[in-house]
Amino acid sequence: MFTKPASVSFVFGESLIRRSDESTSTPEADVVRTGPFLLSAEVWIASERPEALDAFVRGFNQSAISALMAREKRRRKADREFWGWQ
Amino acid sequence: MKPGWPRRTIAFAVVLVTSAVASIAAAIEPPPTYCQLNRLKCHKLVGPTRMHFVGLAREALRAVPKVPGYRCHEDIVIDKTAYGHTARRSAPESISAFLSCSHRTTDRHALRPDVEISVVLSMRPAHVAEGGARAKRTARSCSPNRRVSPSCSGRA
Repeated sequence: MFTKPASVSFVFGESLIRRSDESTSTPEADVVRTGPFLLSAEVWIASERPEALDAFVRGFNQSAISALMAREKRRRKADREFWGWQ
Repeated sequence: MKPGWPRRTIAFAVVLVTSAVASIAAAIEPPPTYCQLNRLKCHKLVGPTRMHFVGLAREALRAVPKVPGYRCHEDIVIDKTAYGHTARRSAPESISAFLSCSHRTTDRHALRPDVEISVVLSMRPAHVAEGGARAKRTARSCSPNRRVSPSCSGRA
């Protein structure tokens, strides 16, 4: 019997700049514009077995990803070379 | 009927068919890629720059717990092209890491692992990466500081 897999996803990021010419923007142009720093992260955990899903979701270290995102934000702010291009 | 009329007609028909074929070919031809239009902003993602992003993916994967009884297989996927003003400071659009975890008791030949985990790190903000209102809502309701809500389940 088919069991629909259950899943949980965590999205990390911060609301950012919405560019005015969004309709003409491409992913590549966005990366050039935003620089070599992480701006968002998504972790998706799925399983057909609820007990397995629960074990992984409970043990998932959300603060580790938050710390990674915060560090990237600090790097981005401190990067004078990047801001020189803006 | 004037002599030579059929020849003119044939020539006209040939011109018409040629232009129609040319316009169809132009319509079928894919538009130029970003890298074709912006060669200076596209770079091969190699060396230390690549290793930096592999390191970020590994760091993110460390947030996933090691659950007793489960064995996980790791796979990191990074684009071969990076975008930026210089090669040293270029970045891929996103980095994906996958974990397939199977329980010790699961049949080795089972088609699917017991648990699948994907981690996607992006150089683009979440609402751009995921698109519009849905991503905004998801980011709010599934923020790490809140308990996982039913709306966080499932994936588009």
